This record gives sequence, C-alpha cells and structure tokens, in this order.
Amino acid sequence: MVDDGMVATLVRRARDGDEEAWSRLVERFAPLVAAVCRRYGLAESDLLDVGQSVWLALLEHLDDLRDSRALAGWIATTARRECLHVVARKGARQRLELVGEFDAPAGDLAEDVTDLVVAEERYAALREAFRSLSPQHQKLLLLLLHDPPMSYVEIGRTLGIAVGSIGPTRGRCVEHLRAHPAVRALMEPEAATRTRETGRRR
Amino acid sequence: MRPDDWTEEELLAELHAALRAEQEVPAALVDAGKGLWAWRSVDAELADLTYDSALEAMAEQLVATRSEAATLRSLTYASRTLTIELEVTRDGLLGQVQPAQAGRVEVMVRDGGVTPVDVDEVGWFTVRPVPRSPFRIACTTHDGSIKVATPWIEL
Repeated sequence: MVDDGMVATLVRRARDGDEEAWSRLVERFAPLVAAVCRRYGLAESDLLDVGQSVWLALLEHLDDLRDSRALAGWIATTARRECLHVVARKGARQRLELVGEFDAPAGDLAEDVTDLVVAEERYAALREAFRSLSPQHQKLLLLLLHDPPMSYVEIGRTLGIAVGSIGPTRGRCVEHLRAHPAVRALMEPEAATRTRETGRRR
Repeated sequence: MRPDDWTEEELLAELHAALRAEQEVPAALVDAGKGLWAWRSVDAELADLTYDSALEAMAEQLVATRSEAATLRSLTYASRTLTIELEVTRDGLLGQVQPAQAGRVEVMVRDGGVTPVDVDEVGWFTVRPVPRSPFRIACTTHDGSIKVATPWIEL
C-alpha cells in the first residue's frame, strides 16, 4: 500500500452506499475544511455554511472521484472557493484582494491553501497511524503529550507500568507511527497536493 | 520536513498538533456532513416546482380578476413518482405527500443540520417552526423504495 489506502477504501465504500464510511470521510477531512475557513477568517456560522457546501459537493462528486489521493486538494479548493463567496457576500473583497479569483479552475490547487493541504494531510496521516496503535500505547502517548507535562513516575503510576519501560515503549510507538503506510505515503513527492487526476462529471 | 527526517521529539510534537487540530474542529461541522448522507442523490429524484401561490397571486393581480390577498402560501413540487404539497401557516409548514403514504421527511437547512419528521399514513407531515433560511425537503417512503428531494426553497 503506497497511497492513502484508507481514503481510497472509504470513498469506495461510501460510493457503494456505506453510511459509516461517509461519516469517517467527513471526520477525516473536517479539520482541513476548518483550516481553510480559518485562513479566510470566517466566523463559525460561515464555517458551517462553507462546510455544508463542501460536503454537498463531495457527496455529489463521490462517483466521479478517480484518484482519492487528490481528494484533499479537491476539498481544499472547493472550501476555498466557498470561503471566497462568503467573503465576497460580506463585501470584504478589497481587504483580501481576491478580485478575479472566484472562478479559478477547479483542477488547480490555489497557492494560498497548498501549505494547509500539506500540513493537514500530514496531521491526518499521523492520526490514522496513532489510531492503529493498541489502546494502551495510545494512552501512553497521550500522557507523554499531556499539557502540562507529566513525569515518567506519574505516567508509570497512572498506567500501572514500570518507569523503566516507558522510554523503550515510547520508542517502539514512534517507530510504529513512522512505519505506518499513511505516514510512509507522505514521502511520496507532492502526494498531498495532487489535483489533476480528480475526475469530473461527464 | 519529511517523516524520515523527524526525530522522536519532532514526530511526537507533530502528533500533538495533529490531535489538537482535530479537537478544534467544531462538532457541528462534522455533524452537518454526516447528516447529509440522507441526501445522497443517487436515487433521489428531484421534484420540480409546479405550483406557487405567490406567483399565481401575482398573475391574478396582473389581470385584476380578484382583489383579496392570499393569506397562505402554497407550493407544489412534483416528480415522476411523488408529489409534495407544502402549505405555509403561521405556526408551521404543513406537508402532504401524494400518493398518500407513510414515510419520513428530512428538512435540511443551509446553516447546518437535518431535521427528520415523520410522515403519517395519510401522507401528512408538519415542520415546526417554518424554516426561515433556505431549505430543502427530501422524502423517503416507508418502504424506502421512493426518494424525492425538492430544490432549495426560500419562503
């Protein structure tokens, strides 16, 4: 598995009428939609408006999507366009100097959201890898990431494990994350920003 | 920065950011997306507006046949298999599905959720309150065999 196997599988299952797969797709890409909205400074009510349009578009284009690796770029582009419409409606066009960009072709990923796609895809891959860890190991990592930081002694006591085992287990968890196919796929050049092969309705 | 270059610390910091990004997503955004599943259009037929009392009233005024104003607005959306009649009253939106049969109606508004409403045996349903923002109605018959959706409606 070299590409983003989970997204491809979810798209296929949703296409076949699996509601659970659709829910997982929404969860998978909601942070990206939210990130694009935040970049354009949208209020929460507008964010829901944009989200609704993006999900509707995704639902309608589910059958046309060819390359699921391009999905993140497609979603970011769609979200961005909806954001621009909201911004335009509010008459703040000049402030953001967005004139003329409203109908940019859907196949091109706009430069101002490319970095978001890259970052959010990296996050999504890490979350997917994280969830493939055993519950015990997930718990350990969460405690290690706890804010404010917890000492190994506290963590050992909380989980009922030997303090001396925490370091080595943490190392194994990190190796597991690094080796996960979703994380490996990030190594593919430009994996996240591909948009060209996204199918269009014929 | 690529995963292979990350130190253990960097990878965990990235994971931390990833989990936080997910937590910061408004739940309503996710719920709105999940709720849309009912709108999967594969087998939902689109019903066309075939009657709108507001337009009829305007037409009547133009030819000056009647003077009393219509107190309610009624709309009819027809598809090949199902007709949805809507009547706006002060405290609700009354609906009638033809041919009359039980089922479920879902009201979707632009700013978020989907509200499910039961359709009774004689095809009646009530949506309260009347949606103020643009909305769509999708009707699924009790045996799931027919699914019809209206376009966006703005009252």
